[in-house]
Amino acid sequence: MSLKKEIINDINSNQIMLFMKGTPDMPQCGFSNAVVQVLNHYGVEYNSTNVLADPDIRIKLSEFSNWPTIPQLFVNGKLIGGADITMELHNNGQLLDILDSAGEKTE
Amino acid sequence: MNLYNEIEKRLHEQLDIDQMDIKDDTGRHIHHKNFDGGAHLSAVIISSSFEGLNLLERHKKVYEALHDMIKREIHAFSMKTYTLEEWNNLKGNSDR
Repeated sequence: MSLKKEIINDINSNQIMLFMKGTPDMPQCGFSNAVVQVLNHYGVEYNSTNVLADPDIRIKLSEFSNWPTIPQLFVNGKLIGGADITMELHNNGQLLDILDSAGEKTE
Repeated sequence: MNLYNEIEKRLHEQLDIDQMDIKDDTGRHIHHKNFDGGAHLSAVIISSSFEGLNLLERHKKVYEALHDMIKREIHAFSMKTYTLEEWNNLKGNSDR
């Protein structure tokens, strides 16, 4: 499978998919860390890809999503946004509904 | 050219800006292991061009205006986007 197909497959096959710098256990960037903390707060299951593992991931991902920065959060195959939008949706209460729609809430 | 001037020029070209404020947070990141020399900026942008757009669409508009600067001069660009009405409501609430 080509890298781009792999990325698209990850986005479509995981109800919540996070492309980030580092890993959820060890984020390598404050913005990625912020999204990880928010997702952990809701206790949802999600999959993640470390874009630092291969520079091509970021290039192919941004081509596909038309979004230039990392992190990128996808729910049900749809781009929700980066750290700013995730935080804003968290603060205004909309993120809960979005994550609920993924049906992955563990509580 | 000064980075701020270039950003402001581009945003004014692409959007009807009512007000904007760009801050440089780079100093907070200089000692980070992965620091690559790019600027860390945070911006509050108030624009009537955001009317009727969701957050994703608003951020995309800003990214489009700054496209080639992101990843080059700008390492990180954090933003809050408001219409004038949203901004006035926000200010009104915090003044009370």
